[in-house]
Amino acid sequence: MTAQTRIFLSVIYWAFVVYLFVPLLLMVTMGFKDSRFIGFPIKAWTLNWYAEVFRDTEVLGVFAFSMTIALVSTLLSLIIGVWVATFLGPNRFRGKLLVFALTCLPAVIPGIISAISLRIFARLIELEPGMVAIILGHTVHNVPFVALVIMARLSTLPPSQLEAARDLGADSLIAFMRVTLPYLRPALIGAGVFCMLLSFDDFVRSFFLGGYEPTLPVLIFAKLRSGMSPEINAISTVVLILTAILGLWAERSMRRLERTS
Amino acid sequence: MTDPKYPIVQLEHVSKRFGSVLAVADLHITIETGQFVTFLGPSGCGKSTTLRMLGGFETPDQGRIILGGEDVTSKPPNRRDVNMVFQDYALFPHMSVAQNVAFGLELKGRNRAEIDQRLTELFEFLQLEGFSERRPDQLSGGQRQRVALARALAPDPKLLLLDEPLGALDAKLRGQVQVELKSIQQRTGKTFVFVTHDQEEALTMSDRIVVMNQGQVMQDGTPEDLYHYPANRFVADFIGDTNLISCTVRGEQRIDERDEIILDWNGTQLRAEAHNDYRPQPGQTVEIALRPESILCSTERPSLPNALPGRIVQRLFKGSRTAVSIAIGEGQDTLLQAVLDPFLGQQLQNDQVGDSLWVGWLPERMSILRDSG
Repeated sequence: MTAQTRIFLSVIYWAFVVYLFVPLLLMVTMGFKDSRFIGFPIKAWTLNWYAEVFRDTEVLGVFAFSMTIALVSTLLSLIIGVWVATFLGPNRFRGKLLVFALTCLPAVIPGIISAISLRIFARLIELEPGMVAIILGHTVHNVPFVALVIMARLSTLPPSQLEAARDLGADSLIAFMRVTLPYLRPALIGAGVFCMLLSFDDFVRSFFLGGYEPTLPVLIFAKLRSGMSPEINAISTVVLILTAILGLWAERSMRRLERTS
Repeated sequence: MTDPKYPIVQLEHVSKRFGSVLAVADLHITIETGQFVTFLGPSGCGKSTTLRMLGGFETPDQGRIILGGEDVTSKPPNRRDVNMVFQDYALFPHMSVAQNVAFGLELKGRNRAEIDQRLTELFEFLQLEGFSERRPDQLSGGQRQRVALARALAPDPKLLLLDEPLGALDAKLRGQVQVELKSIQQRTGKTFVFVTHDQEEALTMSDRIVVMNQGQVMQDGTPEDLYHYPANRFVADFIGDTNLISCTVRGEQRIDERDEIILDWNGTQLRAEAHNDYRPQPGQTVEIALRPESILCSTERPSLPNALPGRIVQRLFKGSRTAVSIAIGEGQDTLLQAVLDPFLGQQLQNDQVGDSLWVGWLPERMSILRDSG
């Protein structure tokens, strides 16, 4: 590589980094501005917007609501995803590819289409719009991701591991619990965090399947319609930090676990 | 528990087919308590399938497996008193050495005190003290192998299965572990069923070797028997180096209380010891196997029942011995492989290519192959 191309490539790289982070930086900065109007110049700084967020019971309630949905849908997605993966992974049967394709479909259908169809379905089975409907919507969407991640990990499990467990007296359930599940742990953490983030971040499904109670993205959207306020910047910054911590933690623990197994 | 000569395992006419491949064909074998039995053969010969059927990982298509008097043919692995050391050891990566070894004991419902006592016992026996809290990835290959052995021995199985457990070790360590494994087997008095494709490994450790090829038993006997009296061409070829000579049977004679078969090789009379289980008929063409180290080379005609003149056509110095190819017969068109030991080589003096010499051997060193007719 010549010196020129090296300089050229690093300029491109840093330009990309700036493009990626300047909007985030602006959003964070504006959350500290002591004025209702977003934009420069900034004459005074304040923490009031954050104080307001943590005083706002509506925001806190919605945050808890979103978290509950994320946790429950993640748990369901993990259970169903692992079940699908352990069934699809090692077994050979006719039409396996078809079953696999059908499993993956919800992940690739455009969000708006799956949201509308889920809404129609919910009405058909007389399910009230709200938490349960949103959880089901998120779960349907997330299961394929879990199944794919778990299947990838499962395919690296040497068959002798389960045979050794059986050999030492474990029936297939104990062998699964004590050998397969621990082996899947890094993948479970990764898939779980990914599901949490997908669910927490989801707007379209939450919007279409929600009742009167909004999730956090839906609330932010609603607030935006009545005008941009630095409070939204503050909420967004809190969410940004929390998700970044969660992501980094998942990344670290996955690496550590994969090294030991 | 260990009553010698009491059959611990009986495989009764066991067959197993994978698709169109007959992996094991009508295997009928009894294994006695306390023996070190090796199934030896090339890959795909059915040895691993046999082991996996004993372990319960494969179910025979036909036949029965009797373990300690109980029919276990269709019992799953977790309900058989058999444990296995896997080729890749299959230690559980997320568990410590102690947790790995305790796994089988916990599932057998032993209490904590019993488990701890058994672990202490095994760790001392297998020199694993101080490793109990380590994870498998913090151990060397040899240590992993011992942990796998400890884990399989822990539940005190009737039968220990070993699936090529030395394959992953380097050559030097393998030699050590062979000796260790044999001594562990002798000290525990357990019945070991070992599977390998390595003839040297099999000869070193086994009380009994079952040579298999294409799902069938080719020969079954002690290492010495197999080595000195291979029953057929496959075994003669597979175990060690051998010379194969085609002869015609002339008759039998009785010398010094022993029966001998008189053979004719291109006009030269040869004598081979007769075995009761196989008597070829006069006029029959047979192949005989003769080990290189059974051949005595000398400058003068040796006073042995079998003696032939020959000429050295190739000489390879191998350190502890010298391998020579000797042309024999009228046209000198038959090659015999022989070895000269340094002491004998010194005496021989003319051991260079082109030199003439005599070769001779004892009748009991000639093994008449059964599939040669």
